Amino acid sequence: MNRKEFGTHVSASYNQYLEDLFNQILEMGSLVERQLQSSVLSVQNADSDLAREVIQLDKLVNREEMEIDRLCVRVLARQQPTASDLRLIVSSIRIAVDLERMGDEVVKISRLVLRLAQSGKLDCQNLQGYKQLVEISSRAREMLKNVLDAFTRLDLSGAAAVIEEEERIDELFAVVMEEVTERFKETDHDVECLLQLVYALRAAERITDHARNIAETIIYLVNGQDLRNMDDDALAEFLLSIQAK
Amino acid sequence: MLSIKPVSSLESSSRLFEELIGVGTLLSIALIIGGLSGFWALAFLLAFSTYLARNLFYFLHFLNLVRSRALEPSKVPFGVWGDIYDAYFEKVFQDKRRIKRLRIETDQVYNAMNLLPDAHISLNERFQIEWVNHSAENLLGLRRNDVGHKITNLLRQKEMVQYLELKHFDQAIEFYLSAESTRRLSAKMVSYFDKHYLLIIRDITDAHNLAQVRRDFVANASHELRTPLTVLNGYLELMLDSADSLPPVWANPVTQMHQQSLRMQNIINDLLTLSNIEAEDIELESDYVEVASMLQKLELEANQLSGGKHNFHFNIESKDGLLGKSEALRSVFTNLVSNAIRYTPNGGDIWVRWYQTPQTLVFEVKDTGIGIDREHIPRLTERFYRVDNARSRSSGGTGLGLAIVKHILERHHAKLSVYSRLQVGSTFRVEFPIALRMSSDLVD
Repeated sequence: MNRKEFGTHVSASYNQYLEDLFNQILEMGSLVERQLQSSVLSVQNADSDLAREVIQLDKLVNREEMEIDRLCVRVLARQQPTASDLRLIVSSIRIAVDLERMGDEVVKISRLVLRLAQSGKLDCQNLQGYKQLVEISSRAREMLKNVLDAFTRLDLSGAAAVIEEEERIDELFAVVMEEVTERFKETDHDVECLLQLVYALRAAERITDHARNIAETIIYLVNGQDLRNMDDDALAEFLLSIQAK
Repeated sequence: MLSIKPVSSLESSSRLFEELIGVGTLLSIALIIGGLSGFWALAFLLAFSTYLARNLFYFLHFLNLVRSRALEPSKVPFGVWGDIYDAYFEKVFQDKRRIKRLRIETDQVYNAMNLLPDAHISLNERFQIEWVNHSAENLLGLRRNDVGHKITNLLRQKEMVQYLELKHFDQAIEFYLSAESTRRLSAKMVSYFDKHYLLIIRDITDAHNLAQVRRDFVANASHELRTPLTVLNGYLELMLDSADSLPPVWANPVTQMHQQSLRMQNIINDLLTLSNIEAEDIELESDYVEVASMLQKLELEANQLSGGKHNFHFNIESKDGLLGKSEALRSVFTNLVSNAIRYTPNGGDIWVRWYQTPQTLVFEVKDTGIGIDREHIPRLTERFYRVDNARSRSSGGTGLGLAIVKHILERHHAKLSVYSRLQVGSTFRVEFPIALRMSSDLVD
């Protein structure tokens, strides 16, 4: 699919509907981006006010998802889209779901900040893993930014880069989890803190998974190829081939 | 400029003449053939069909030429067709030259745009990108083929989205490109060329940092100076208290030292006040300020300060107060009145008015003082700006009064205007927007 295809329909309102839908997804994306951004800051600075703001923003994100659904239904019902237009609708619904889930995971990270502030256990921040939480969530933020840029430009190599980055984060996550499990064995650490940390780490990792899903959806949207359940070798080859382009 | 030559007109051309000669020749040949063979009708028919066939041939040839837009100048035929071909070639040639010129001019503009140090992005009325220059590519990470995308799809910063939604394009916005980026950017939208916009984004990191450094420096330096000064002041006061034990030679110097150290303390306090005002958030928490009673107190203070040397006329015409910071506003009023006292010779008049117009609430101080030269008026609110160095220092004051006034009034969205004539007097008028009006019965 090519971006200029929006202008190719005879019906001006059809073009407009598709354009609206496209812009709406990016609007939702920028909301989640802002949410994630504030969340990273709130984790970094243990800022509970900012964390509360993040949780408030989630309501807006949820509303945006419903709006996208409404726009998709409107196009489906009125214009019976086919080919790349139909792929745009299907992708939009998928991306909206991923973004909404991302918003929920971001809220989970912010809850960590609130819980730690409530319990007054600020020394949790010195725990092994807290720094890595900041790192994973910053990289998740970067991935979200790149995946949204790739969606705007329908840029395959951008999407492929996001998928590769997600694999690196998976490895990082495995290492971090091992370290945190080690800490559980030492009794002098606060188990509750560690448990919260595990939740937050998990949430940050899930965010990168959703970013990867969106990247896969972009490839589906542009090429019509489905990357889900592709085995590792085939996937690596495929990614190489689109990056070479 | 390329002048467009008129298409060669038929009157002035010899081609019509050529055509007539051609027709004449054809007719004479027909006559000769008819005379020789006796088949008159056939001979004329032959001549006529030759003429028709030639015309048809050139008609089709010309049609092909126009359709294919081929420009290799083919041999121009004889007769009126020659005119048509000439005119067509002339026209095509002119068009080609015009297109070339336009292309050069467009390239020139593009190249100039690319050399500009600030990012320039042209948008249409739906805020879709039309083109971006090199700086936009470097500064913002946009790409040349981003044309057609909505700008907020690529610049998703909160400030940018709000700016385009609210459409307050007379103001500029400032934002960071991303969370970890330290580059501070300033963006301004300018509308141009009938429903197009030019988004100009510049890197103001240096200016932004410089302003921050200056503010911090002033705040820190004044804070650091305060402590040693307090010690000096304390001992000087102690010495003055036991003036009898001082050698008489030192009495005068110690008094002067004390005065100067007090003055220095005032300057430092004013500097701290200024930096506090600057550091405050734009939207301050405001409360009800009862201007009328504040001015009544001010009248007493003014009389004390002047020592009965000036005639005061306080006209409090409006009972309404303001929504604002009372301490800050008090210092605005005090500053303006004490300036009037300071710069009005003994026996002069000072009018203070508080009144209301349909759009504004006005505080006005008018005096019959020495006045201010026109060239100084725009610079009055600068820090330490002195109209006349010698006089101002002797009359005391820190040189920061009007700077403080300006900053406080900015926070209240009020406007300060100064009208003055040398030797006649000055008027300082503060206009508060009517939106800040608060009457006493509304308070409880």
